Amino acid sequence: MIERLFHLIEKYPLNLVSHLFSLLPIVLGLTFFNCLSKSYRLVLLLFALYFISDTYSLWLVMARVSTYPIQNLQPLFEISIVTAVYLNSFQKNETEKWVKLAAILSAIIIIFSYRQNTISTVGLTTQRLFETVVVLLYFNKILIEARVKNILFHSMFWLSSGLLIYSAGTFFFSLFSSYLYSDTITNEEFDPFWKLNQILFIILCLMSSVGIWVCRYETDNLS
Amino acid sequence: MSTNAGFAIAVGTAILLIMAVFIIIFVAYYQQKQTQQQLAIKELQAQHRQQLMEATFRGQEEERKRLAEDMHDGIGTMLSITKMSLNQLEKQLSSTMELALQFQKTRSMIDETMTNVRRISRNLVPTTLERFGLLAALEELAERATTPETEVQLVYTESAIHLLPVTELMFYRIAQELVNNAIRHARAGHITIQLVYFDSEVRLAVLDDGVGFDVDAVMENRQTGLGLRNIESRLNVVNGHVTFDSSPGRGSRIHVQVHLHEIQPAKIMS
Repeated sequence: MIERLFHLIEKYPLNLVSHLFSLLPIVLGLTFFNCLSKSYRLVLLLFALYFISDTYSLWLVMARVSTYPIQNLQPLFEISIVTAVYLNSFQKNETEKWVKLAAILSAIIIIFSYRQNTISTVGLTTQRLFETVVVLLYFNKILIEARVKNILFHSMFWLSSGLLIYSAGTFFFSLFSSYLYSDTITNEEFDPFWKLNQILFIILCLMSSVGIWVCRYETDNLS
Repeated sequence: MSTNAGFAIAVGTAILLIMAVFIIIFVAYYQQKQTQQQLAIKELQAQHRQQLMEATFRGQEEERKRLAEDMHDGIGTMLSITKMSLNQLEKQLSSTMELALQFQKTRSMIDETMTNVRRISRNLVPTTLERFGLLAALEELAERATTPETEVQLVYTESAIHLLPVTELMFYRIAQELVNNAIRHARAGHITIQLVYFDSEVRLAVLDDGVGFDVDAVMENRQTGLGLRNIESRLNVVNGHVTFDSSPGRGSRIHVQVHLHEIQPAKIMS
């Protein structure tokens, strides 16, 4: 089993890097836990989910068991946490109602499109679409309210940017996932897309970590 | 995988990524613009408030001047004529001892009223300030405020800077208010007015050994803190600063500081 692990690390080093990167926001978040807003504390849960899911997937891969169930179920948990993170920001707002509705709708789609033995394209795409819409709604909200003095010191801006880049960058990967995961595709053809996926995930981790780093200035940054 | 499908996915991903980056840059840029606009609006509002304050103080001074002129030319002149008429009446009437006493009493009442009119008129418009400048006016203020119970002393540096009439008037009004407070409210026995000139700033301080006051309580009270707030408002116009250092039973030390370069040409014109 250990031999297989080393073989996987050797074959997909970027996977290990992105796996370890998901710990960065958690470590930083625990260090600056007191200055984090309630919403941002939930972001730590999101990265904990990523880390646990990646670790479990790795174990399944070593045991030569399919990871499709995890990959297909992960969007459901991700949507729940992202909704919880953003609902705090949309409080007492008409958008709050729409975000809740979209989250419920997305969850229903993910549940009904769940597949045990193959990748669920609909579920993955729905999750990316939902995250993109929520982030755009959040950007719209901060521009309308104009409460933020310097956006570069606004934690949620960094998380939202990271999420937008990740969701937009992996959208086509999700949309064509059943095609990309099919047996007709060789490893050489699949790898570039998989690597891009990992790079975008590392970017998400880095940007979320910047969001945690700037949380110290958040109080003075809101008018 | 057909090359076309792979190419389509790559192009689609690239387009979406570019759009995402563009949106992020746009949000950051637009937000910075918004912040700059808000700052500019706040600055304009502050300027507008300053101008309003200036206009209020200018109006106040003009009104005082008009009142002083009316008192001096109207009431003062009438009182002088009344006194002359009384003197003539006294000469015309065959005076008895009792009547002479009555005349003397009336004349002293008129004299007292004339002195009061002159004093009020002088307080309304400090003519010494207009004619001889701030130091002379403060000296006169100290001299007039000195009584057997209260000693008012003026301390100043020899190197005097020529200040604008508006600035001199502002310093004079502040000193007048503070000395008045020290006498009326603090019941001080000794008051010191300090005027110090530096290269680019003027500092005025009024120190007294009176009963002192709770600065926070006075400033919070809308009725009692009017004079002190008035001082702050006057200084806001020239971006000056005031520090109130006082507590019950410890006297007061009030320091005023104005940077001369803060006094803009617009204020100089007024």
